[in-house]
Amino acid sequence: MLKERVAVLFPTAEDIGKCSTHNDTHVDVKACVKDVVVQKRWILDYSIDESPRDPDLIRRITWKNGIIQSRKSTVIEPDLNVGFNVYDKSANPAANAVITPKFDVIHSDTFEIDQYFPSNVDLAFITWDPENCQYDISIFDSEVHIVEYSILKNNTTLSFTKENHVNLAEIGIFYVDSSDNEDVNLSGLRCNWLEDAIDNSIESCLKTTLFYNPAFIYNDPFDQSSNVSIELAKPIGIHPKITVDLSSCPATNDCEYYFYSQLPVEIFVDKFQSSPVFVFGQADLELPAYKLRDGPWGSETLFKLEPGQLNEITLHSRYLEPTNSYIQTGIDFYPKIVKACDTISNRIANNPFYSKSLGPESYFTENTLFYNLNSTKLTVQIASANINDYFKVEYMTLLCIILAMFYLIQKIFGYNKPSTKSVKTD
Amino acid sequence: MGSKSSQFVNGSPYQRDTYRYTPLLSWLLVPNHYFGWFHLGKLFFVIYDLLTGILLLRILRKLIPDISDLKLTFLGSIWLLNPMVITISTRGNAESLLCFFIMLSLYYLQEGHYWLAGVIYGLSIHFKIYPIIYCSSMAIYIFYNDSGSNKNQTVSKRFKDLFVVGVSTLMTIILLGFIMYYIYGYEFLDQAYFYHLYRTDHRHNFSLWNMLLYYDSAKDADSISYLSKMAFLPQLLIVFPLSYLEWINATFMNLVNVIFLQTFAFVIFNKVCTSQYFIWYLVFLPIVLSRTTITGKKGIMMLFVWVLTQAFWLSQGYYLEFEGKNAFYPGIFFGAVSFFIGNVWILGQFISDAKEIPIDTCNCEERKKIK
Repeated sequence: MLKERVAVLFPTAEDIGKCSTHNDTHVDVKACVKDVVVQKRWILDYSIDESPRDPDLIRRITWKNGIIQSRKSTVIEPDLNVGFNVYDKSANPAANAVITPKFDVIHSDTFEIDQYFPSNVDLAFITWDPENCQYDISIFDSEVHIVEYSILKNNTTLSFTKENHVNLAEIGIFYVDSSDNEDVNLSGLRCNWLEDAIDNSIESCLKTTLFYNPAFIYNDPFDQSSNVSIELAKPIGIHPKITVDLSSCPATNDCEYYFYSQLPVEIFVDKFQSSPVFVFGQADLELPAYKLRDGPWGSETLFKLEPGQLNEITLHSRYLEPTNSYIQTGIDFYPKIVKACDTISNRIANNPFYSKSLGPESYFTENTLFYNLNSTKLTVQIASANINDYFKVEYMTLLCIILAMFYLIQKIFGYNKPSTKSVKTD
Repeated sequence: MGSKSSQFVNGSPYQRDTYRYTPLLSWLLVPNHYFGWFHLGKLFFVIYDLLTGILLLRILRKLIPDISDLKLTFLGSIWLLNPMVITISTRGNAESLLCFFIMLSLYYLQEGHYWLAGVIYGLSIHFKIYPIIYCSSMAIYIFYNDSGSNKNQTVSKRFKDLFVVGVSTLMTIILLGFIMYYIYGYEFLDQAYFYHLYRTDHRHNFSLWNMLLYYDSAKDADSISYLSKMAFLPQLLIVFPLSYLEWINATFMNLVNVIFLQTFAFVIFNKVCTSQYFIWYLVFLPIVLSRTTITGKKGIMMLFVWVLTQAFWLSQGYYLEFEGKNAFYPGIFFGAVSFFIGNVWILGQFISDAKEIPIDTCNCEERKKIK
């Protein structure tokens, strides 16, 4: 059983009439004013499969391209970590996983989807496009949910119909009717196809309205009062200092401010000289990056921030393996500043577009509403020795040692100065 | 961990990463938590600096009975007002505690309280292994020295003294080691002692060996250069032969000088070297300088070489550490090379200087008898 559902989010109500058309079988959507966000969701039921399954498996796989992450997310998107993340609730975590009390997570900078799917799931219906899309995939006991976010570029058209391999299909074309911090109201049109219809004809297209409580809110970039900066204090040495300016963020009763980041193994938090809420994963204070290759991919850390002031977080970089040049190696990471607020809503964890799941949100209670105040790519340049200097260093060291030993042995056992002798013979 | 550990302390100091000392040190710092004041321990270390200073003055007064107050004040100030000493203690390094133990052990040795000297010496080795390098020169001193009550002493009494110091030292090390092992288990041995055998000091420090060790730490175990595997050898080949100087002149004054030279050489040739290690030899400087024959001009030159080569290394370290520049080569490496060469030259001057210490003629005669 495969269900497919597409949601298109236009900026205004007029766009829907102007930019979408439908006939008996197809719905055409055109980004005729500006770029439009498209969410595609596939729900694949694989319980009828004969092959053995892992009944305890709960897995979430997310992918967010570091290059396109600068785009402000919309009301239909959850807040995902940059890069490829596999969150598991499993009794046997992988050796390279970061183990947290909530999940084990494997992180990668590249999209490595194939090795993390149950082998009996037939994924022929999907063409992965990590360059342009963001993914949020949940794998349960008998169901796989794949959610893909993409951008329909201005002046391009999406033509949607029910394909034959799809059992149920639906498309929703929405605009944001109203949205504040507690409620999102989307209005628009919803078309669905008859189940297993061979001629792919649309069953009905109806006006529709959705109300839900969002779990993630992206601050309006034009709202100056919420402008929070994350910067690396210059010059950047081997103890990179991140400054987070919360001077425009007032303290409130229900909300707290946090710095969250996944860190590659080359960067680490000293939990003894700073006060993170937690550091999971690689937290050794001394070892170079090349001695930690067999362990977890890096670490996850959360710091509580003080509102109304400048916050500083000092990280540390590890020694890297000597390279073939004098050029520093750039190490990227993507911290985010989050305002986490308690709400009285009990419906916040699920909405028609996404659910809270394994991931950074699972460190907080279910009723927490997250405001993403800023997420930025930071790059630390780490110097390493040039391997081509090795023999110069080795021979120079040897020369120094030999000369020093000759000199000192001669000093110790050599001829005593006359003054000493004269005392001796006194 | 032993089942009784909870009776003593809650958990283990080794739960704090990079704690690589005897648990005794953490016990001493428990008041930090009791009073909820993180800096208390630093104050504690400063107090030990002061106590070390008092010991230095007492040792000096006994060594040079007619020493003027002015000279004593000046010599004491080399330790007590030394900015480096103050900085190291107030930043939280426990070197002052160790210096105090070593100085106290020397004090008891000078006073002829052999078993006390041994116990304290054993305690200092329990704290950090390196004072073990003094064993040869100390043994030579105990056996051959002819001052005070040791004058015209029989060979058997000299053996007895040596035995007393040796056994009290050994017993202290074994007893403390056993107690710590009993409470904290293998982790104590591993972190406090074995760690020094397998540590990879890849991070930049003053040691000449540092760059080579960094390169080699990134290699497979079987392709590591023979040189870095043998790094401990030159260190031992200089440190132990230095006790020959005590053999040719077994006075207490010379013992302190030889111990100074051994420590200095140990630090110069060590695989890792940071500022706190300088304290290990600086503590003997007031006694060494109390009788030095080094001229003021040369002394200033030695100080200059020590400071300038260190400053050169530090400037390169700054570029790497705070500006993220690739200063490994030639910067940091040649900083370490110049500091090493400068230090070796300074050590050479001090070796020549130690040979100038007057030999007690009576001592010579006695030694002939002993032989």
